[in-house]
Amino acid sequence: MSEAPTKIVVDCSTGETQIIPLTAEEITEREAMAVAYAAEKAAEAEAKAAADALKASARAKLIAGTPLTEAEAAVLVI
Amino acid sequence: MPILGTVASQFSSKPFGSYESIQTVTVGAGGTASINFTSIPATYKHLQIRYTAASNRSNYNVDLPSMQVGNTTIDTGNNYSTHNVGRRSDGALAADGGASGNQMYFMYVASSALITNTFGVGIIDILDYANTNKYKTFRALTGCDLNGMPSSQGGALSLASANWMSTLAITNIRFTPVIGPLFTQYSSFALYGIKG
Repeated sequence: MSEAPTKIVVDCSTGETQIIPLTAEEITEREAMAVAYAAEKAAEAEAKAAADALKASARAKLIAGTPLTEAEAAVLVI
Repeated sequence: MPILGTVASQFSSKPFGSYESIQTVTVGAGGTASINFTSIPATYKHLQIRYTAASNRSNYNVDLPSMQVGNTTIDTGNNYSTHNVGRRSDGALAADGGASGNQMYFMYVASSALITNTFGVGIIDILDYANTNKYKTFRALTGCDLNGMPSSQGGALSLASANWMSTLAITNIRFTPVIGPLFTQYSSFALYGIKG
């Protein structure tokens, strides 16, 4: 079994520095933070992909001379 | 024209020593999962953190540790928001900001698992950290340069602002490389107090 990761805790009122193993609850919390981070980044990537697809569609329609949807027009007009 | 005595008395009333080191932490061998400043005194106007750090993230050349704060304990609720503009490691210029989350992401550090001996750097200001009439505002400039390695991912740069939506005074600060999952040896975080 591997050792538990540690945290560094500095008490700014005393200057005391401690190196303390993470508790099971803290390890679980870290895992939840990593999941939240991954979800946030996935949502950002999904939103960017959707915006890129909308721009590509708008450009293609402009070149073809076909009508744009309101959403497609919105991504081209500042 | 002031005489010498007048000049001397003017200097004696100036706030010498208005920027003070509170504590500095340097990570030892084996790394650490988080760095925690606790019992931060409320005797300053602003706080500043200066860091040079790397994580052991193995699947990417840069890492984005989280920052959280609190009063007595760390606030893990969805009470943070961040806006960020910068150049990411893939070379793209990007600006983003999200709805409230349970941590702030704006600190670029290097991944020592892929690039040895290279660290990211950053300066983070926490304004009016002890004012109980305001939500707390952060501003940060962070980044790392990787000399174009690996595979043309040359580094990352971030100019950010963030918000902790609480009127409580900040007494605790935590930095966590949630992906890393460790800050590696020689990473260093210095906390300063600024009197105003």
